[in-house]
Amino acid sequence: MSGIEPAGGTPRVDCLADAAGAIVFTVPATDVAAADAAAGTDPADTDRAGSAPAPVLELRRRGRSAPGAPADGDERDGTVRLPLSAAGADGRARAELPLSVPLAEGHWDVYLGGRGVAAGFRDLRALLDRVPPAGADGVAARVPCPAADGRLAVRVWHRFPHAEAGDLAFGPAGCTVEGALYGAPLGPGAVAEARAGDRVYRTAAEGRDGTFRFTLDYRELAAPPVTEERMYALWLRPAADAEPVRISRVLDDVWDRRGSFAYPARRGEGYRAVPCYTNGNDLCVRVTG
Amino acid sequence: MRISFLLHNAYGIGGTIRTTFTLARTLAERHEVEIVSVFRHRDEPTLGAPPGVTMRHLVDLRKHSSGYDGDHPDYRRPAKVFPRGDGRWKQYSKLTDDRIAAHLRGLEADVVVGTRPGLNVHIARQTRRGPVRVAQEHLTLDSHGYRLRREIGHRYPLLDAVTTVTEADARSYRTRLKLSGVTIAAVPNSVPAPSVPPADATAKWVVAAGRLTSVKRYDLLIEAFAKVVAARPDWRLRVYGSGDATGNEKSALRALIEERGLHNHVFLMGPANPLEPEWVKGSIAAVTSRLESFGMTIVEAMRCGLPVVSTDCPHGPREIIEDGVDGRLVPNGDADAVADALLALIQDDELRRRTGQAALAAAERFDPARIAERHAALFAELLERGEHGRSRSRARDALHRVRGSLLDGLYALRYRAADQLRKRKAAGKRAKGKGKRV
Repeated sequence: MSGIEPAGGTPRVDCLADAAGAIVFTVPATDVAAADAAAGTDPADTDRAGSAPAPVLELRRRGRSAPGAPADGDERDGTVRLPLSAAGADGRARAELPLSVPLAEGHWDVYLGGRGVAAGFRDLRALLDRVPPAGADGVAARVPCPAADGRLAVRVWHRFPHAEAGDLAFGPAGCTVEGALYGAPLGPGAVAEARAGDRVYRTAAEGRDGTFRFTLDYRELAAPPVTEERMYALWLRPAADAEPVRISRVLDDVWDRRGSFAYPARRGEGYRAVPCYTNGNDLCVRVTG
Repeated sequence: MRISFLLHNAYGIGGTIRTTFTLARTLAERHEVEIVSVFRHRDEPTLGAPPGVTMRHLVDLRKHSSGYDGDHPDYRRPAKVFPRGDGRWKQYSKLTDDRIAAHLRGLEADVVVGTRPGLNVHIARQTRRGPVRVAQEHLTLDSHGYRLRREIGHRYPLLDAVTTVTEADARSYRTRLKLSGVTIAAVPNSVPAPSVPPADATAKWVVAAGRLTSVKRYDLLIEAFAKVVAARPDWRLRVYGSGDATGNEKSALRALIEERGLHNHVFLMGPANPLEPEWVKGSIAAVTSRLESFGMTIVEAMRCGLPVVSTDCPHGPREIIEDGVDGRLVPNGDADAVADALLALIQDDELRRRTGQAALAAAERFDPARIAERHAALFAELLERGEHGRSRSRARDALHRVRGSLLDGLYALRYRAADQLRKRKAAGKRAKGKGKRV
């Protein structure tokens, strides 16, 4: 046979998200067995009783598990182990990540038997236009996504309270932001804050039934005259005495919306202003000269 | 049967490569199948090697490889057998002429299948006596320039069969060329069953997919969607696909979205692979092209359970969609008609659900097993006729070869003259397009 075998032999993990925010990972049983066999040769990976450990899918928080990195106090903070089921009729083993398993905000890389896995099919339709469950633990969003090298990761947000950005509307010299507020009521003295370095610009926010709305005046953001780019991060202070909440857009399947969410730019006297998202889906306004 | 495909480059990404891999993989379940790639520039096929299929290459362009051919002197000499009218001519060379010729002369197969006009010409001219010669047309006859159409007209009579992806294109081959004795059959492309469950018609999203190029007329779709949003602001549109090299089309579409105030409703999502999980995020698919050689995205969306609203453009859509039953066909270039058809499906949940289910059922006819069966039946029929039963008799072949070599001489003269003329014309201006005109 001069045929070519599929590349690498990296296990391919598929994901299914449900509306409750849980993610089910499925792995070909053959890959689980192979990872098991590989792990069995490493004494560090067998448990104290000497028997082979039950197969797990590991999530490791990026930046915490780099070789040689200083220990981070609580190791469990950086690694979550999800037990893998026996293979189903489709020949795939399953591991579930329910919302009840807390994950810190950031990137979590997925490992099987100590190796990264390839991102397979990601059925994330349930995440579109998601309305998070009303809970006391805040809003958690988890979006399985491919890393730059095609390996599977999970982008995690965890906010309490949470200000979800919605539609943006544009006037001649400003922008109106609408959104939904979870985990806090909008009270008297609610303001939106645009912050760039030491510069803070405040404007009144209004809303009811869990929504908020405010209008930014670009002329204020562009004063004093703009000499270099100002990236204003947008925050919502639900009440005069409340802590500010970062305004982000995380309740769907888009883990990075910089390329797909483009907004009209407005030019005024001595400035150009345009809203945009960061690589973490936080809403900003970029003001340039 | 032993079936041998001849492919330009099995290691890249593209519709022809994908389609050939799917067909080869499916045929390999019952037959002995190889894919011979003229070029190889990577160790592994980008799209993943089709299981059960033997892969070979003729010209190795991997710099680290001990068999690297890029320094071969003939690699720099122009191709003479591979026709100039084929848009890939510049990549071909005396080296490819010779390697393909040697491959076809020593071919150990019952059937040889070419996958682009230039390679089909090689097969017609150089295959040893014996194997059934099949040319696949993945585009359409009328998408080729004059020079290539002439070449096809003169070379293809030495083939046993030409397969097109639409009946419309098969008609072109039958009526516009004199290919008497050559079997011309339309066999559509196949699309495997998706790996995700079908859409359930509840999501308020319209989905479109394909490269952001002007032929796809996404501008028309955005204009149409402005009308949709005016009536139903709760519905939104996602367009998947990468921009072309210039990025001009993407910028133009962004500007149009801004001009129509659709920044909260229309999103250019960038490329997605695989597409199935993206299709099922929508409840309706839209195709507004002014031309579709086949209409692969239409079938993909239907296989995911989406009703498709498509322009009734040449060539494929009307052979895939049954208007009003499993999707909608609207006049080519008519934004209002696109909007009305979308709204009809948006406003009527039951109609949308029913049409999506009909699409799912109708698209099963494009399953790889069924499509591969049609190809295999054609191959088997030609093989059964035997060499003497096939249209090409030894005498006729000989006649064609003589005629062919005479024509080669005439062509050479004519092309030289045309080249001179073109060079003069293009003195200040860079020639646009590839071989569209002589």
